[in-house]
Amino acid sequence: MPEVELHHVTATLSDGSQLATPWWRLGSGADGPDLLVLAAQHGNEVQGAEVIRRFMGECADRQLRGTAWLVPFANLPAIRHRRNSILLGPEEKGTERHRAHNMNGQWPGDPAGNDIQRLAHALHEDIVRHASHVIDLHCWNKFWATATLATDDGAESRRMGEVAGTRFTWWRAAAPVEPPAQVRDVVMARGGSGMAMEFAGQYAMVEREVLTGVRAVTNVAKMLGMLAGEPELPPDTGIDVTEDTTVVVAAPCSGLFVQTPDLQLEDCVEAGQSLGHIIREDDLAIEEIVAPVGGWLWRFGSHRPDPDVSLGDQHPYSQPGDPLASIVTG
Amino acid sequence: MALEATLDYAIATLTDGSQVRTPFWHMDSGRAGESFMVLAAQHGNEVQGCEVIRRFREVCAQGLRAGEVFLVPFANLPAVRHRRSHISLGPEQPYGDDEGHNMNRTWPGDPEGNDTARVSHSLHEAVARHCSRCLDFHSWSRFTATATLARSDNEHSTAMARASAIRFINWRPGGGNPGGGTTIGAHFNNDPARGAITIELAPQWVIRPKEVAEGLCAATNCAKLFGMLDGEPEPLDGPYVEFGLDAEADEARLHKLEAPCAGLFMEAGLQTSDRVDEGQFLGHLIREDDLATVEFHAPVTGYLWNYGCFREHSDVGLPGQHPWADAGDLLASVREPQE
Repeated sequence: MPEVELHHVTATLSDGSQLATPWWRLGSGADGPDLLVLAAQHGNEVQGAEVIRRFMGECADRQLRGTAWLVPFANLPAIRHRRNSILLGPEEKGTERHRAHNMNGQWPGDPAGNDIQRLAHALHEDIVRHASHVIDLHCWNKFWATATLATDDGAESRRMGEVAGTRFTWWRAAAPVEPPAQVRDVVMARGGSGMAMEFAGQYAMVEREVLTGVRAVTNVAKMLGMLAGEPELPPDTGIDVTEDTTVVVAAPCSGLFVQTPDLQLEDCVEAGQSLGHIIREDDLAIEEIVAPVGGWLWRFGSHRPDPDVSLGDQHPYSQPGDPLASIVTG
Repeated sequence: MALEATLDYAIATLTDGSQVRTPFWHMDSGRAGESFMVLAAQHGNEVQGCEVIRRFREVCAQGLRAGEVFLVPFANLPAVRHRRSHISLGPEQPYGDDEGHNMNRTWPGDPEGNDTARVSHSLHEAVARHCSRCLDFHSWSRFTATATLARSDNEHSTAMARASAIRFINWRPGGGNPGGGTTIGAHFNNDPARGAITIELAPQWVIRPKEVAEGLCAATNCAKLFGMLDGEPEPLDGPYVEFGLDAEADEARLHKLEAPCAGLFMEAGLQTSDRVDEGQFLGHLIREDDLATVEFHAPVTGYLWNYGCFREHSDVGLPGQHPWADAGDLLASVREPQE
């Protein structure tokens, strides 16, 4: 069985201080893939850290081949700041300051750049450049279902996406990307393979999503021969999300949207099934909201553009046209 | 035959001359009895009570046999539309920065005051002044358990709290608010002939089935207590956990778990208000320095009063809800019931 090695990557920041990022390495002693799993490039997207902790246990118990490179806290400064990126202020998103410090656009990093570029560089030199495969764990807002972000390269990246076993898969075509870029693009640019995952819910740890993540990462490790056994694929997984197959349910009036109890993201709904109701603000009448088509709940709950930074945008008060749900057919 | 609810409006004229029309339902049994006001969303981000009121209306429609009910699901419509606690608040601004717009400090309102005081005045004139009992639904952060806030010096408030079937009762002494202003609860409870309680349904910004069911049970129980509905109040499963009257005794029965180091806290699938046994697993923390796993267990048998890693202003900003703990951050607290 492999030994669990604790290491630290040290980055020298612009003020001369040093940042130590802990990570695990598990080498089987047998040839095989170098699988990198990292989480929390964005400081508010932390569910993957628990996925990695549990996957580490899987590898420690039964890894057969290759080496696992596991980084649960890729961007410690942003985690400590408890926001997507360092320096962000209240409900700030999409600003130049955000773009400059968004770690997942900075790879392979820059030892003379800003603090996040320096951190990415240190991680790249010690870890990322050794990876033959990468799984990059993120989270998006709690109104969007967990999904695999897969690349169709006709080879191993495609197979990683196929075995992840999430309900939804978002495919993109393989295309050359100029650095600085996302971490999976950097690995793929030199012949490696990669995928990303988005778990539902930032600023939180949700057992259901963690279990989905552990299964996905374990499945990839099995597909690569690092762990024994076949990938476990639950029924109705890998549903392709496209504009053509997605139907949006919007609020018809102003009021408070109350979701149907026991209905949650990824659930199968039938045409005509109740999704909830709106208590109208003008006359307190009840507007029933039903599924216009059958399919799978891809998005659910009243929200506005920035629920990943603003509690106000998570408020169930809806205005006409606000999205209440999206259903993927097919 | 179901009793019809009449839709009516409290109309406030704001400082700019525009009007806010706050809708409410009125149901009159036609028989003598209490006049019961139930309101929600005085704070625009505390909306679970709105759905409670919708369902309570259905209960009353089927069974109101004495008195009358006034149901106000959106007490502070401007703040609901603003999607924050008060209309004056900006991004992540705490409740305390109210600039006089905390509705629950404005009762009985002021027709010449700021816009929030004008709305509360309109509600007072149209509803509150006609009522003898009041149930005021609020919400606080998800990290603190649902609780009843009641006045120990008002017999009606005391009886309502003990009928609420809400696990935690936080007794409040009489007198003014430390921050000034008058809550609607104080407005009622300062009159011995009237009575009120507040119920904080955890959390804000969402509507959850469990809390809605608890709120509906509390409203229904209060109406039964008043003889407005048939039957006896549904009892709480287990003991009430009461605090607020004896600081020393409260402290002795409150057991806190704090993070011994920085790291990421993963809850164990429990919820606030859950009963836990001494030694029960409450979660673990992944340390930031060496990635070691640190487990946490309940120090005593009791009920979860706080649960989850949080810090100040978790009720207005997402970073306050982040599960990343610094050393000393609270992860859970357990309250023991009285003997």
